[in-house]
Amino acid sequence: MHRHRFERIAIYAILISFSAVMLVPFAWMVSSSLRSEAEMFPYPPNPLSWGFWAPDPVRWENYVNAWEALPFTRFLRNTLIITTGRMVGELISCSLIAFGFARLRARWRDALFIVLLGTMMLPGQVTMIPVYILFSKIGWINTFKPFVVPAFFGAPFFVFMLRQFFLNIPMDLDEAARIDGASTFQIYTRIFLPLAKPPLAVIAIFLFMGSWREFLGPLMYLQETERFTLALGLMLFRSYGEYATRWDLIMASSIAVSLPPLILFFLTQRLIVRGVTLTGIKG
Amino acid sequence: MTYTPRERREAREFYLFVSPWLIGFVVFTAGPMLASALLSFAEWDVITPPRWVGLDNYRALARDPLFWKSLGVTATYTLIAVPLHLTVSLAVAILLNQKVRGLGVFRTIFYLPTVLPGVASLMLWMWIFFPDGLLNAFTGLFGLAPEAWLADERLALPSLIAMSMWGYGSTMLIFLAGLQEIPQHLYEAAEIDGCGRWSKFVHITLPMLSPVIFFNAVTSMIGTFQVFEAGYIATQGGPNNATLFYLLYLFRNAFEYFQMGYACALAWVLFWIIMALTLLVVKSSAAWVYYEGKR
Amino acid sequence: MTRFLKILGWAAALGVVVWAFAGEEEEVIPPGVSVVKFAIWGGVAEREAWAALAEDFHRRNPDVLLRVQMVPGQYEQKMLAMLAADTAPDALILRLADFVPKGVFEPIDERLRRDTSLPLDDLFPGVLALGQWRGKQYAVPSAIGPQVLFYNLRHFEEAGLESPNDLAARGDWDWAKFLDYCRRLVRKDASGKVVRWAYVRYTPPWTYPYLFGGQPFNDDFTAANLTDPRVCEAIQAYADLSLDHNVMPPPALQEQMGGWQAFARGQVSTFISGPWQVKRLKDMADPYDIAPPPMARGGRTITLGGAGAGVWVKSRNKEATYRWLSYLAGPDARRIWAGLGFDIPAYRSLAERVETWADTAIIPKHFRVFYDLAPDLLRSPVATTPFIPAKAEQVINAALEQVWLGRKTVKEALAEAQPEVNEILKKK
Repeated sequence: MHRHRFERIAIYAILISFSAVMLVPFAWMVSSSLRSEAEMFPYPPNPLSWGFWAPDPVRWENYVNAWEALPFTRFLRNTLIITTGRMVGELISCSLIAFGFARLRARWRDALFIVLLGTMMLPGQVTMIPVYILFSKIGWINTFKPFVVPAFFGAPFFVFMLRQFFLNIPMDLDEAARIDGASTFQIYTRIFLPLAKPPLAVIAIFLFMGSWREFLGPLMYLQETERFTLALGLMLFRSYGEYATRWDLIMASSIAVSLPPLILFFLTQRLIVRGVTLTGIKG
Repeated sequence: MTYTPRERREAREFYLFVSPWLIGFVVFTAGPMLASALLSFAEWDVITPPRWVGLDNYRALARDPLFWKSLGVTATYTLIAVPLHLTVSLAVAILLNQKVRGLGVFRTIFYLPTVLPGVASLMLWMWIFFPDGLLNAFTGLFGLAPEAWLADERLALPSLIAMSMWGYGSTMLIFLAGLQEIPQHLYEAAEIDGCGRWSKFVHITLPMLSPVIFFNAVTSMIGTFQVFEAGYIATQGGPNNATLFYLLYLFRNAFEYFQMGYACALAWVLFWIIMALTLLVVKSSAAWVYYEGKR
Repeated sequence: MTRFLKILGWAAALGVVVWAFAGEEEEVIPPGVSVVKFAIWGGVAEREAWAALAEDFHRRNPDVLLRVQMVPGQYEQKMLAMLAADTAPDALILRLADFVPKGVFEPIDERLRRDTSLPLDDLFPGVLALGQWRGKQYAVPSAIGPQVLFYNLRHFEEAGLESPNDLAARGDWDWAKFLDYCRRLVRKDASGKVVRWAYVRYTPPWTYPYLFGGQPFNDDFTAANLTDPRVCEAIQAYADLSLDHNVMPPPALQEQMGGWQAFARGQVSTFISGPWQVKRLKDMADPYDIAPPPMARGGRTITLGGAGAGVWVKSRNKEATYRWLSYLAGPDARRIWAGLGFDIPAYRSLAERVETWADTAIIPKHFRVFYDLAPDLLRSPVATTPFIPAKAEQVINAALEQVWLGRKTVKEALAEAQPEVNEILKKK
């Protein structure tokens, strides 16, 4: 009894103290977002002084100025289109492909899996220009297609992840379903998909986060400012290489832009955690 | 070798399920990959047409001191960072898996570092590591002399390794999902048998988690070998090339020195190195990874 | 109910996906109008200026539609990809030293000669050279960024130092004097740690060889002359400010303090930079002024800053593109641009009428120094549009890094780097 209580206190203590550490950079960013440009990087930094954390004066206008300086509503719309499209595409395609690799046997299965892994090993910088030329030739530049269409063809990282999870689902469930006359596709939809909620939720979070913050892809494939995404548009606060970089607006808009993913995470993380796992069903 | 109709049907189904990836691979990936492979045998400045030079790029590579240096830097970084990263992520995941009130809030807070924009995070870390920064202030409390950290040849790489620990969020999340998959009844049975906490961890958690550990180990290794941003933004490869990551050197060759062909050669050398190491881990996985439902 | 919401959710998602696939509607170009695409980096600060310039240009040239493409980062990388795909913008800004030999830019000598709208005679001498490469003109520069010394008036008064402007007038303002001043401006605390530095690293190391009268490269940048004693002496003198005399922060500390920010905060007494600092320093607490940088006899200062955009050799609207560049180089556009505070126009007539483009309330007392130095400006090997290839720059930087770390002398480092640099320059 006592050991239990001591344990709980210890866990709370660790959680709270580490949380404090995690919140430090966030606190610093929030305080920076409320500073004026001249006050941005105080030197020498004195973290023990109150002035280091609390800007004086507090400039709430930073947020308003940042919002007005650029067409953020437009950027938000563009980012949502790309992100939603990608999420739908990847969630469908990756689960199908991972199921194939996990459950179905074929002569070239393992070799193809190595090829799949291999595509992650070539640095993107050397394929960047050939890919750009490809998209350019089919007229996809300055559209959202380079982001959304490939999403329907799977992403190696997520396929790999789902495969690992699928491999852990016991065969008994498959066999029971087969006896009931289920087709392979039905096994996929009725058994695997429901059980895959935790990794699928993780993938959804990763996709959202990745798409939300992606910079290089939008930079290369989008030409006109009105097609820009949030992450790309944010960088417009940097000018002529530091000559007039508005750090105050960058910080304010960075915080604002970080909030939706955070909220999404908070809402979705319950899906990752389930009370009683269903894989505990004994055959 | 002949196949039964059943096996043939299963194989057909396999190809059907995997077809999206196969099509996508052929259309979007294979072409550019092949292009980069061919370009590695050429001299190309991206603008004027490429010129075939055979194995010259690879020969130059072997004699290039910066190639060896960057490979050394990246290998050292990966060798130390990956195990550390996995350990930290697993530890945090276990911590966040306890039955504690308000766990959702805690998890969100712990995931915060991943949500913050990369540039802002790096700036913050650079700040901490500056000569007049927080870290030196902290060590000063213990009477240690201030160090130049990122500007010191010996300390720059360790500093970057320490900085990278901040990015545990994604790996931790995958571990968390994996921990959820472990059936409770196994732990209950173990308790009945009188197993202690450590024993439960070693004999239940780790084995049941091994597919996920395998995944995180492989992807972490593949990803860490390709580390780029920290070197590009925080140290620009310095001081004196102490943090010249392989991909940073590749990037410079591709986009700053107009030697895309050489960059492609560098890329493919890295590809084979990573492939070899991954196959090693995959082969070894037969010994330590346990799947509940593998065929 | 939840089932209905689920279906609704999926339908919405599907609708979004279809939208993404279908794409946006493309704009219709009226007949007889040509479109000129101009890619530029930068962002919010310049956006209004670009919009104003584009609008003004369109009014004067109704048959040309100008599209400004903002590139928020990795400008060169994106331009390379676009060039590779043959979809480059009509006007773009790139290192002449690297891209002219690759046949990216169209020479504009003919068009420039026939252009009656540009008062080229009004330009300061040498300005046109900023846009030339091996004898041909590729861009029309019309702005300059002379490197001058900014100094904190209060610090100088407290230390009882005579104004550098007066010294320069007498011909007495050289490096030895500057070093002496630095020693007297530095402030240390009780333990000997420097709390106020005299000078910061900011302007590129190339500034110093020219101040000392040396020439690190020959006139058309085909050969390097890095072992010129005056070049080595200059860069060594600069390095020694930190290594020997401790009046300038070491590199690691420098990065943290910032350059102009440290000056604005009063943590540093002097620094060398260009006209764009004036706008940033307007809220500085202490009064400041500018003076010519300390020069040896025969020394000159350099100009940093862009040469302007060039015309893509495969552009389909070269004539219209040139008109845009010509407009940008003209006095009207320069007035708008200078008002933003990035550089100063290189037209002599505009120099006389500073009030038309500068906020006279915030300019320092000796603002004229910028124009006094203008006739003798030299082009820097490394600027926004540099004259040496990137690889050469990298080699030299790596060599000089050994110097900043205190491992080699400038002479040793540059002597080692010279052969490789010459090889790179020869390839062009």
